[in-house]
Amino acid sequence: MSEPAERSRLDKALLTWMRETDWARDEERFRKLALEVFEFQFEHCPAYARFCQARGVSPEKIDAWEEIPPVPTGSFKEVRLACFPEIRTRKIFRTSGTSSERRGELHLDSLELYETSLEASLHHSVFPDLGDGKRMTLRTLAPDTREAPDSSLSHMFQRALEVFGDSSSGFDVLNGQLQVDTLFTALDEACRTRSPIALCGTTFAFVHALDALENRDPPRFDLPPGSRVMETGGYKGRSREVPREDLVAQIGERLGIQPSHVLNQYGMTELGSQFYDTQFRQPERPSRKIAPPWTRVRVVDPSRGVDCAEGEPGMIVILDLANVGSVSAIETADLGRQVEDGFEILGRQAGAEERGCSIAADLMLGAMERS
Amino acid sequence: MPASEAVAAARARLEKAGSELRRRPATEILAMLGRVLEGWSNPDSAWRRELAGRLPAHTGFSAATVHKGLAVGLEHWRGSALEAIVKREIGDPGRLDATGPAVITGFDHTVCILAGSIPMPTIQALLLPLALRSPVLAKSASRDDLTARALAQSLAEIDPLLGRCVEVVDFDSSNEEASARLLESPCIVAMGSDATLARLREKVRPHQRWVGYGHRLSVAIKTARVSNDAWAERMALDIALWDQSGCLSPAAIYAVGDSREADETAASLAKALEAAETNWPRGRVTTATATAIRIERDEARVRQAAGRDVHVLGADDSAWTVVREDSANWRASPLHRFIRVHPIANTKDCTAALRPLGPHLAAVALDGLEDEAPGFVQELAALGASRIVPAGRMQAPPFDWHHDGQPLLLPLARFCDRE
Repeated sequence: MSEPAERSRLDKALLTWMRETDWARDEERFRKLALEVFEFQFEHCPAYARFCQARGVSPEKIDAWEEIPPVPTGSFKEVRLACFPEIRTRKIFRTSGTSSERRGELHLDSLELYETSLEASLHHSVFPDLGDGKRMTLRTLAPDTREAPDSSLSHMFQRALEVFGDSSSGFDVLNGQLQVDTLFTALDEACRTRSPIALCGTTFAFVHALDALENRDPPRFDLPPGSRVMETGGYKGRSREVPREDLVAQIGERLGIQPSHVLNQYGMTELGSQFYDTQFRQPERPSRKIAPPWTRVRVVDPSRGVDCAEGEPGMIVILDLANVGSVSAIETADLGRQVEDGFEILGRQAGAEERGCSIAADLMLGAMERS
Repeated sequence: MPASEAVAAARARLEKAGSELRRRPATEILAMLGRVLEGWSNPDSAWRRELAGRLPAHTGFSAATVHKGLAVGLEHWRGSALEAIVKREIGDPGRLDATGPAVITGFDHTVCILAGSIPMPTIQALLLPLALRSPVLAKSASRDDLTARALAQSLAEIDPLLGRCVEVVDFDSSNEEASARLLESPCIVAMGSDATLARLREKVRPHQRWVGYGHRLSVAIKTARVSNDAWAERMALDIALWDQSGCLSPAAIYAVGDSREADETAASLAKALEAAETNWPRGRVTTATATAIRIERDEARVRQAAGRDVHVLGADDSAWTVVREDSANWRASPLHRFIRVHPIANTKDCTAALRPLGPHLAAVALDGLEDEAPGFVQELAALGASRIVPAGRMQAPPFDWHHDGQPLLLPLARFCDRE
């Protein structure tokens, strides 16, 4: 089968799956589709094929999705990992970074899978009470896609706004600055009309918003029940760092949003899918992140490459079939642990050790790095 | 007792001990310190044996690595080296007894904020103020609460007064009250990351003396003129000791010559690191470190798969890794016996490649460049290197090495000139 035909067949199978609302795990369906996607990527992404061959792996030699070799997220800074010719590239999402750094790039020849995946996850985890034409006000604490055209995060927020937002929805970051007045006006309106509001944005933007609230009289809003927060992306040195439990507590105290409605999203530019906290849907069960049915998240012992026991820390390795046009198996620098049927992120620094006085592990040297 | 009170109490004891110490002739103190150094340099001394026995469990280094690291690091740390520092920086030791045209004294006491878990910097940091008869209040490193106390014990055995002139306190760096109390001292010596030093430096006032030793890195440069296998054996020791975590540990290797030279250097080094793992096994690593090593290995493999002249040699687990890079561009290293070999055409290119590292450079291991050495060494010194050594000696800094390119005693001394 030709590359476009095979790709079309895989896309169709994935889109069908993503549009199903039942998120029950189907191991055989995943295994079969994952191996087909791997075979496709092996055939059409030469660098990835050579990477796999060097590890002694090829499609005919494996029959379990766990055997598909993952590439590190940093590889997307080094190599164009795509299964289609450059001329077909329609969109490039880039990782954040300074102008002197080489940034990771996810090349897409279509946004259909990407958007269908993100919409399905948002609907399942953040807006399960919306749909069928029901919308809510959604304010976004991040720049819009005109200001950040290569940001996957801005694209996601834009799409969320189009699908789930009402006419009062919009972006509250302009030229990199949080627009406190428009944000607070929207929050006032939500309080006045007792209409739930959703606030989505980067974690550091929420810190800026809470700091700005200090100067307001009174320094709090009592948002109506059903209001919610979706934060993602961490701090990246853009604000003071606040432990998550403190952030959740402050959001509760200052905005009146209960902890079960403050959801963290784990995602990255290199992936077509995202992972959300479960407590909005399942407040009675341990907090964890859940993988959409077309993805798998493993917690792996980095030295031996085998799965860690539940609760043990390990490196997060993801197989995301929404990445069908790129590489689906990704290993991250994040540590995590398995919690029941989901996982928890422990961050990159957990367990970091500093035995000596060498700076070599930290020294990036701007333009030299990855140049 | 709360940590801040423990700091105050330790300082009060040091004031008393310090006034007694300053009544003793400086030459006598130097002789006593010399005896302590002799003891530490003796592998059979009870102090050495006890510290070597206890460090592995506390620090994560393997016992063999600790034994070898102490043997290499302390081999030449003798009383004569301390005397040499005094002569070089002060002149006649009698000048410390205030009989010359300048009165030279240490501070009433000196605070040493220690870091890391390599013993030698701690030993040196605590002995130097004592040479100026300044008692020492040490905050031990979070990963090594043994060495400072072991040194204090050894001082007490040689001279009880000297033993009373070192106080060691432990508290978490986030304890603001105890930190503030510690930073009231007239002279502060601090070791740590740039971020840690910056945070501490902000709290030190202009009238206080500040001596900071930040984190640094070292590199090795070699040519085809040296035997790869013999060089690799020595370099593997430099990498293996302290699991490559010290500022004197090589973080990158530059193989001067053609592409084949880099290949052969990497291959020899891999063989030597494999042998080193047998002799001095790497210590335990956290999941974060093992993850970083795996990620860096796999990123290199992706570069190779993309057609670049890069390859990875490594143990089945993460115990050691050699990445043969295809350019001289610096890349961060997860350390713990992870080394990159960079091809480089000549010393001129080498200088250019190292220039961005200059502010962070400590030692450079230089082999096979004898013809170019004088000029090249000057260039390396101008970049910021403070030590040029042959492979195999990186972890054996002399006691009188100008740590970070600074004098050792002068920053801890006060001068009063008589006219």
